[in-house]
Amino acid sequence: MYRLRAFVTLALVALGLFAARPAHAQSPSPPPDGYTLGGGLPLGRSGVRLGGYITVDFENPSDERATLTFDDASLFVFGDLGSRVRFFMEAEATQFWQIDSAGRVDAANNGDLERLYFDYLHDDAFKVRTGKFLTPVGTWNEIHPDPLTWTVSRPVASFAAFPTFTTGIQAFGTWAGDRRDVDYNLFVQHNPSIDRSTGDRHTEQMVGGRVRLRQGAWQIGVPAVRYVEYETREVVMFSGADLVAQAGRLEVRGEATAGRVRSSDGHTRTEYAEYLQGLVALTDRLFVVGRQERAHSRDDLTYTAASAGLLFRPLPAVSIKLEFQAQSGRFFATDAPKGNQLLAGFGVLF
Amino acid sequence: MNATAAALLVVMLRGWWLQAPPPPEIVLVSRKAPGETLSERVAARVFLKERLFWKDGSRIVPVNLPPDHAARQAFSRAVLRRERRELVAYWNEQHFKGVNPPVVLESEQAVKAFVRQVDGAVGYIRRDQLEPDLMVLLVIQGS
Repeated sequence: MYRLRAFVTLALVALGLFAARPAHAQSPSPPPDGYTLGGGLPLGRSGVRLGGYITVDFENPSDERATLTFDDASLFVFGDLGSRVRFFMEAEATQFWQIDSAGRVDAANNGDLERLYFDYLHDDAFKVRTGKFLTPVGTWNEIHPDPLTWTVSRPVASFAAFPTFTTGIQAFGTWAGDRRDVDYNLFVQHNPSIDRSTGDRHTEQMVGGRVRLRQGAWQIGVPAVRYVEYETREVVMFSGADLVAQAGRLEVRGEATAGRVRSSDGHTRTEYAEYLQGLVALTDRLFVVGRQERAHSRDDLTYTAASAGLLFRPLPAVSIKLEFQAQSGRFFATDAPKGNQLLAGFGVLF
Repeated sequence: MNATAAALLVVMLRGWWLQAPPPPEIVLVSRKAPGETLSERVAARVFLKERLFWKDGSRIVPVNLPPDHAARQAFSRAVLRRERRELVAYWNEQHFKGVNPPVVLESEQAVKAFVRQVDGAVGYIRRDQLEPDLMVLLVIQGS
């Protein structure tokens, strides 16, 4: 019922924004392109497009059974409503079929609503997004699907310190300079989430922002966020930095967050997470990747990991990955201590 | 030895004769571009859909030629400064964000017709295809 109310509210907001668009913002009607793998399927001249991705992962931990998991099956629909309003909806089934090395099959109905939002595009420097969207912190979270990332595993710093989804409102835009661009995002949530089953951290109260400087082949971003953890009522404040730098066939990427967690009894703890990743393109299709991670959680747990892997992209929308990850410790109190593992993954963006 | 030298000479002459023609000079055209000319950097932002609006607030509608078209390849190298595969990867990421690439039209004639008909449209053609009713926003010497 809540989801329905939230959807109706969002739809009304979007329709209001659409109706309020300036008179000169008439939508042209260009001819539709055909289907391309990774580019989605245009629905005629409607301006609406279908897309999605699927991923299959193989995990072989040193001290547990190996598993093959149909990890994600995602479908998204998006499009323009005139020249100033656009919408995006993504529904996903996660870990819906798994078989382990003993032949035990586990099937589950883990469907969720990942994203549902409308954008109002006032101009290049000021846009407004309302609905459920990916929290704009770091570089990994906003482009996280397996077919577009570099390793099977996801670094802890890219998801563990903050709610990866926000249900609320966001202002964002770009100030373009002669040599460099500055992107900004300001976001706030002061309401229940649409589909709380997504993500590891949940909140109903969050405010945050990010500034990102881009120049040529490098970019650096700085987020700052305050939120109240839904389950524990702890108040979390953190900041951080993210970096991407490319030079020829090399890419360096990293993210770090550090913050304070205050519990309801006034006790304060610190938390940090960081990773640094290097990527070398051996050819246009074959990449070698290495990553070092470390983190210390609000539960006073320490986690470290080192990954080395290969990424093969026979097509830009297809990824085949192999990764060895040496881990120790854990980040979440509910997790078992981690050991070494061999990982493989296959993903297609369609 | 003489045979080797002769073979080398043949290979060099063949390479000289088969040298690729110089890239065509490209012009970025629009029916109107309210008070604007575009730098290469701004043109790149337009065709990567990072910039969406003209200065007067109207929506920019960039149109592409097919990937194999000589003008498209010259434009991508000179303005976008990315190879075809890099551009496909870029648009895959944008697809995940809900952003579509520019519409592809099959010929320069189609680009000119589209630009004439659609407010805010902008496209590129070879300079020798230019017609007087189109406004040139940028001249690009292919590289």
